[in-house]
Amino acid sequence: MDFSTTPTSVLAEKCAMQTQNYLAQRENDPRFCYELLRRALVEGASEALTHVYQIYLPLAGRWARRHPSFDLTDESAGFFASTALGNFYFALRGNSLATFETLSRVLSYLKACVHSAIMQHLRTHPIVTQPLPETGGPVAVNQQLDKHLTADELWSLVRSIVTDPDDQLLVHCRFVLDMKPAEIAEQYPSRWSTAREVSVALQRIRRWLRKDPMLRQLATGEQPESDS
Amino acid sequence: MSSEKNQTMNCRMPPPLTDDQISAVLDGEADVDTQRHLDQCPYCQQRVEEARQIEHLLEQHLFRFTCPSSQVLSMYHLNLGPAETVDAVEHHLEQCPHCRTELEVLSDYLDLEPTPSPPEPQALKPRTRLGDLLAVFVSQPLQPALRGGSQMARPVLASTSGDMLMFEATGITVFLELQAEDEGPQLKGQLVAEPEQQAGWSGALVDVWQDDQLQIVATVDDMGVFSCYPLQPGEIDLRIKAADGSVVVIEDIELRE
Repeated sequence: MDFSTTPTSVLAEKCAMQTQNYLAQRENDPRFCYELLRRALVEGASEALTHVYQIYLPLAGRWARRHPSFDLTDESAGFFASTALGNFYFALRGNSLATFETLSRVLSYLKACVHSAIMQHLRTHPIVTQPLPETGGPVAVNQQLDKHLTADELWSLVRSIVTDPDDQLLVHCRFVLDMKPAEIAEQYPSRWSTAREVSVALQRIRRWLRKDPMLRQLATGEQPESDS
Repeated sequence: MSSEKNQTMNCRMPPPLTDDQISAVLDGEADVDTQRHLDQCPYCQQRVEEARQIEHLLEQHLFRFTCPSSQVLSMYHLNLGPAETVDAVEHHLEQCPHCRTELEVLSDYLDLEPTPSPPEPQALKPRTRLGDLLAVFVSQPLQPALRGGSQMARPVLASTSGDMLMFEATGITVFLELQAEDEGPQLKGQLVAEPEQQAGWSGALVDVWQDDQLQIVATVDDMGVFSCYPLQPGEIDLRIKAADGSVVVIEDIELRE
């Protein structure tokens, strides 16, 4: 079908209808949506992009609400829908749309973008569901230094304190992957045969880390103690 | 802790808690005696607090810092990722339970039956968030009604006046003007960032919202220029989003014919 003379508004109207057919698992013609997406993502046409948003933003919002982790977030469905559509656009602009053979696949990707927006948000904004230990109040990490420190820099410092490869693996499992001793022993049975062995090694490593003057200074903002 | 504090603060119930006991406190596994000691000893309380701060620093900064982004995981799952990232993602998945779980959740989520989308009961306009750059209105040519009065009036753009408004956020300036066109006013804008950041705004998305409804989506060109057309007179909010996730928000601009 030659769409070269079809107004974008007509394509949008038919695409909205065909999308509803697809979602209702009725017979549908994906060509209108495909052409609308092509104008939006390949040509960068504002009118087509606006229609894509108007058709798919509500759908992405609905998908966000149905995501199993949505209730763990502190954000609106609109935020995740907007983030997902933005990521969808940035990933597929130019000629990437050509790698999608069907509308079903395009919509699966949009849905995956909704999932990604929620999961990425939860990585950086975890919701505390466990009560803090009784002695623990809000943890006041040294904010002044903290905000300038990157993960790579901190990891380099940790590796300079903990130099043994097995010990570094334990620190990685404990602080990067948040694994429990039993999980570590299960994943690396050739290195640690029991969870108890992992726990003992971790206690030793945590002692070293606590005693490192640079790490103490980064965490508390206080000057290192003198050796005297 | 400073040496001065170290000298003046002593354990009230010697011997002081051991490192292993401090770890047990942090893990929520302290026994009754350790807990009693802690309740009565400010010196050991402080040692526990310092240990907690160090571990919190490590947890906050290092947790999942080596994980591929959720977007990369999704691309991998749908066989859309670049070939060079596939091996790296698969190697990472072998050791990372969090990413394996994310992929399991994604797989189940994509398998949910598609359903028709009913009208949305809630507005989908994203609210302005802490990390967004809120651009502040900094200039408008004086109008008779404003002379001698407050200079902090709401920014107004009229298609007949030819005025240009300027808004600023950290390191970013946005210029806006309105032009009369057949189907309604056309909003023209230019985003100017620090030279090293300007390229990052090329291709950014511009959303125009009116009464919480999305009106127009446009894109920023290589020169930072964008155009939103057609619009209706009234109050609008503008959101400009770059590919790296940076967002500039301009709120409450009144458009007049």
